[in-house]
Amino acid sequence: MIKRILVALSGTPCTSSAITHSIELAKLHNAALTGVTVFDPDRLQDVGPVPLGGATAAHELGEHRMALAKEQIEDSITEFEKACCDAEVKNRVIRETGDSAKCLLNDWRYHDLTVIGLRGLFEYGVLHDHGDIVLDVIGDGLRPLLAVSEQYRPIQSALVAYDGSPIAARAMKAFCMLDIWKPMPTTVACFKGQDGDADKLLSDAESYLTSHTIPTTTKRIEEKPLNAILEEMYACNADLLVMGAAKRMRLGRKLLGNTARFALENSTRPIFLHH
Amino acid sequence: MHHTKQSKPIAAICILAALFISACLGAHLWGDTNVHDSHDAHMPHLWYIGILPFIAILGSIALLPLLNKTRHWWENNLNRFFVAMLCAVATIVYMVATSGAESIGPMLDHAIMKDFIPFIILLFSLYVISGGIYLSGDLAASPKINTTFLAIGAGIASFIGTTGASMLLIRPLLKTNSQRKYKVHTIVVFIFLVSNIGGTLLPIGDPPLFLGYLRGVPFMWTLGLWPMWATACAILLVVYYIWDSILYKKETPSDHIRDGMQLEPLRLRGGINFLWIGGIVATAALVDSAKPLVGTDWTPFPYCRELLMLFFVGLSLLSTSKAIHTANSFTYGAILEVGALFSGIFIAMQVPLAVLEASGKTITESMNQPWQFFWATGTLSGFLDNAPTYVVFFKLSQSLPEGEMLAVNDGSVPVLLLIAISLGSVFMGAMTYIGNGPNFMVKAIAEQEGIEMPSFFGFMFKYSIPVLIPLFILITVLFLL
Repeated sequence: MIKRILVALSGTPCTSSAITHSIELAKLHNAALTGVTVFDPDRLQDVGPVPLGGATAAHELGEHRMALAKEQIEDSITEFEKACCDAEVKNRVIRETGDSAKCLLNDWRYHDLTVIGLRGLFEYGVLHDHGDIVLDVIGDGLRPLLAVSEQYRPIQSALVAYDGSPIAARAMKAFCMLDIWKPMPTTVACFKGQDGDADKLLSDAESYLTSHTIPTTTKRIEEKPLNAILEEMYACNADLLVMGAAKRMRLGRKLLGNTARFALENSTRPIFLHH
Repeated sequence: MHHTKQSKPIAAICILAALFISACLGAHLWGDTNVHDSHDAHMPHLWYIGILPFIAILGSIALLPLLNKTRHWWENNLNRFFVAMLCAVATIVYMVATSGAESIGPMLDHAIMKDFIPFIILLFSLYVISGGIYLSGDLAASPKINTTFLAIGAGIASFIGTTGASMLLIRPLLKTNSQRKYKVHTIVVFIFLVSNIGGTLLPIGDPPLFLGYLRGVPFMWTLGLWPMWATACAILLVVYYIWDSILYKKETPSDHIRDGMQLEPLRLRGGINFLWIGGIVATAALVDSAKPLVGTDWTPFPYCRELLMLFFVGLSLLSTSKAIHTANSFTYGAILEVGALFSGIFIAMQVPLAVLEASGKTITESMNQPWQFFWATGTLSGFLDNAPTYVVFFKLSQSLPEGEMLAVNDGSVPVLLLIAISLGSVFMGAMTYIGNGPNFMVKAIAEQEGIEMPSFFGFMFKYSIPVLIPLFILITVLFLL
């Protein structure tokens, strides 16, 4: 049951799409939306290493970034409130100041779903190197998460990336049990490198999804997910990719962690992530 | 939680670079100390403690701006000065303890009176005067125009300094390219050419060369580096022209139309300052209190050169309207920062220099070829400030009395090694954003204009390593083997 949706207002090209998706889901579930902005001065002022003689330029750049971010925050809030008002969706805005990931995790506690834009969080068009912040917040426990692309695209079909791991199973189960979307045609894909027998995994997954009244087909793909996952989503014309995301390890990232990272950085369609 | 994903590795690189110098020095000198400690009077006692303030100040410059806890504190020039003085006082205490109080006078005379004051006054003069020149305009952003911009920048950087040339040209270049989608490569090559390599030909082009001049390298000697300068500039300009031509064709027709509709002729304001810069060049070239003024019997009094430079600064300030400084976003912050830190660097580096003087021969047993000096000076200049790096290798090269020698203030220096050190410190400052002050200034201005500049490692791995390393290998093969 979805009653509260948290929307990250990041001021990026994906923010408008995040607002549209959130409103659509809020109307479907009669839920309330919370828009959150995070002004993260430490991150904004972090201009990287500075040579001797460059500190004044660094300071000016930091100030410039903060001023731009403040403008973008106000623009994002205005856009969010107007869109919610037009759609007659209950809404409120939380303005946070501090560490982006910590603030989002703090607000996530009292929401059923978080919607963010793909490729970054709270950069406000100022920071271009967002690093792994989305994977960081997922790794720190933020779930479930819908990361949407720049172009709005109604979600009417899905691809579930399934390798039999508990992480992938949790993502698939969350997709079914939360009933976020009405049952939609779904393909379960098993990629090379999964645990156990692929055919059995697919058959079990199909049976599980069908029991949730989700029309399901299966597909076995003889390529590693990192190379094929997005291609497969586009090939089967899925509007949503459902996948698990392993917590990243300092050394030697787990397979699905790398795949999730790749998908977040390159997908042009929404991704439903569950850790 | 996530203060820049790059800060930690970069801080680690910088600290490792500083530690690398001391480790190499240590590895060579430890054995040397054990063998010669009792009879080598020049080797500073407990030298490995004496070099710590130098490492500390370089480490502070690298690390303190990156940490959230120290970043704001470090922004204040008084705090930087405090750190610099702390390192300076530590050096003085060390010298008093190991060499006696009588060693302090000559050391300060060398570090402050002969190095720091002339150095900072030259930088201050060029900084203030070039800050009074403002070039505006918006030309058609064709490969030809962009290449011409870069060529002019590379040509004038030696005469007005790399910082002055960069600040003069970067804004009109950005405006010229504002309608283009592909412009990052232009800014990157600008950093290569105008902010670094262009400053090779005169001591006022880049700070390390001026330190060489203060150590007795003739003012016109660096002009002899023109074949290397011309080779590097020509290759980079050709590469850039081809690169930009390819990307120019990828721009949409609407971009070309918008670019063509928003033209504005170049307009130079504060041009009188070129005259004052000419005065600085002439003063630096001709006025030296160690020898008679050219064509006369008169020997200028001490600091005559510096007073004349300040005189030209005064003329510049009087003849430049405030509007020009405002348009250039001119402040004294950057030069105060340089002054605050170098006041300590010059004192703290006296012990490492003394160590090198005493044990240079041990080090140069395994490092004695020009190409080795070029790459060693260059590699460190890419991550640490190139001025102290130049001085360290300059001193080291004096331990190798081989081949053609050039007489300098305290002896002589092998010409081939001096060429290698000069080229390494100037050319390879282009390898990273922190290799030279103007690199970062250009990056910051470009970002404020909305250009998505590459990250620290992006700059290295996408641009400087693929473009510059082959060029430097070629320079090595052509001139340094």
